[in-house]
Amino acid sequence: MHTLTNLIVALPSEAAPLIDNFRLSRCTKARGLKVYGRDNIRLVIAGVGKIAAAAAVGYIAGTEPADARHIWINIGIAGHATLPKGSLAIAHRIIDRATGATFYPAFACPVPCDSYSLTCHDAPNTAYADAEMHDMESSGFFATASRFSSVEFIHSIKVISDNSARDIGLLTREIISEMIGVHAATVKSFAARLECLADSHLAPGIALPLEALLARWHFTATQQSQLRDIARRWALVRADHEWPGDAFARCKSSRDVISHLNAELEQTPIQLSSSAES
Amino acid sequence: MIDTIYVEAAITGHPRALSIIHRFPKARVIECTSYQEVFNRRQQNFRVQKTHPALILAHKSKPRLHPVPEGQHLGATHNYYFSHLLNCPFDCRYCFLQGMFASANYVLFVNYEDFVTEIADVCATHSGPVHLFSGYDCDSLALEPLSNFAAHFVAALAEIDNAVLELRTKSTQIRSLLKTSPNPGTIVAMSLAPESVAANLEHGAPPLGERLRAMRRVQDHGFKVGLRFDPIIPISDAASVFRHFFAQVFAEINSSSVHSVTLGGFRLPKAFAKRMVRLYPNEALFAGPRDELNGTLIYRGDVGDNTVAIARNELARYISADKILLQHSVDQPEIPPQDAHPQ
Ligand code: SF4
Repeated sequence: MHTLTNLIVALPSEAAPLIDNFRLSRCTKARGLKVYGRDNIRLVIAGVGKIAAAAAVGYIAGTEPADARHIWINIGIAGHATLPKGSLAIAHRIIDRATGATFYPAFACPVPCDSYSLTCHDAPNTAYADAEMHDMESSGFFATASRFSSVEFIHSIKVISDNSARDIGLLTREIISEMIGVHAATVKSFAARLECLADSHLAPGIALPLEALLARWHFTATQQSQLRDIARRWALVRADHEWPGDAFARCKSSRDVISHLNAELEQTPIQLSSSAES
Repeated sequence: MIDTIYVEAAITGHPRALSIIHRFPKARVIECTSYQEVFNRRQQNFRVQKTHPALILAHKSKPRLHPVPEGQHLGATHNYYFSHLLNCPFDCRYCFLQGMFASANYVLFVNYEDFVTEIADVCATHSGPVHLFSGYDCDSLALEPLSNFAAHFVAALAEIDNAVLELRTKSTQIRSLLKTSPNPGTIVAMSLAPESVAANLEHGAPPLGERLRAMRRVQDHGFKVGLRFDPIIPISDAASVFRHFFAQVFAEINSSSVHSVTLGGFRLPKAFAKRMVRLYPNEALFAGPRDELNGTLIYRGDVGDNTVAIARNELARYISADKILLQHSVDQPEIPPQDAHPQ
């Protein structure tokens, strides 16, 4: 199991400085979307709008190994009535203007900038009446990403690109790339912090090999899951005993194996000093 | 340090909410419609949130009092629990809240006055003492500097003749109690465990010595104190560990004036245990021998080695057996119900 950091952006001009900074290269196998990657980092150029963002999240989740732990970061430009252009902000609440659905990203580590509410629109909107950020991707992004990860690992980070309709008219691809590029290193260190959090708190259980047992007897799906659980417990409380002990010599069936191994576990008290997952 | 506060839109002007928000000038304050949008949603990770919990300020609507499950009280006839707070700043690895709640964020219900009114109404329907447990879904005192819970409720419930409030805690936040006149309707109950258990499993909670000293001060101030040895974690060498432990406890606490003592095995509803294993798959505590009884997993030390029975025998050196209340244990002996009337 490994942790994947996924950057979801709408525009090529938003992607360019991130591709540079994260040193990503184009994934030639990707179909239908432009995907860049390296090691455990993916970047998708999703296109504009919440449906495109949702599709990009679904694409990555569907093409990576099922047991991957995903970190999702949506990065892009957003409008705000008063925040200085070029400033970085993170969403603490995302409201889908069309449906009223509200999402709350959870902050489980320090964030690199101030946070604001973010309203997601279906169509371009420049009536920035309130103290909120405005974009067109965040709700689709968050709703879909939260099917694959817990909310502490899903964030929308925005660079304020404009305060009014007039500002939008002045935005060029170069200006957008420059605005995002200024904050690329900050995004990178935030992503690293999330990865560290995931690695230290989403650790998989210890696994003991089951192949020999599975090859010798037929275990149903339910029995396989019981066997995995027994193996995990064995590793924790009987680490100094050989696994699976004398099961091969003594057992005649898969059911026998499970009850024999369970009986062994039932004889084994826990040692408090080994019981310290903090 | 709290850096995120969610507040229900309906209580943004509540004086208690305002004063708490005021204490955290750097915190981001996020309005929500209902605390449940944030607290109860799926796809949260309790373990991850525990590293950095947010505070949610909310209004608790009726019913605010709930009947206490069988075998979880002090022997009175009328028993209720209520929760002004959900969750706790400590991180005991055995804590069932990890399996019960989706979120580790603190939910503080700020409408204390409504709780008190409902408690008064319920108490008026009973003639005998009504035991009110405040530490089921939280530690009653651990967030006292923030919540002022004890300061408010001890005084308010003292006005209700038959109300008996139990504050259950592992914390040493007793300042507000020491400023309050003790009354016979309050029991300050400290949860205690042997040092090795506390050090290994009760992350962030004060060490045994500090808890005992706090308890002693509360007792000296005139409050009734209770001792809670629950859960008893199954350990090897239980007899000598518990002999030493109880000697430490009763060197500090006057056993003759202890109000009540409870003892309980380590048990978890099966569904909670499953979630806790998912959060901590490499925690040996959940991997030891256990029995299943009516949907509850009861963890035991070893075959034929019942740590609860051993602890109970050691405890009986200091406290008469009829004063020791067993809370759901595998082999719970018949103990006559004890009237814990404070008068
Ligand atoms: S002190 Fe009580 S409520 Fe808090 S974590 Fe420990 S067991 Fe849970």
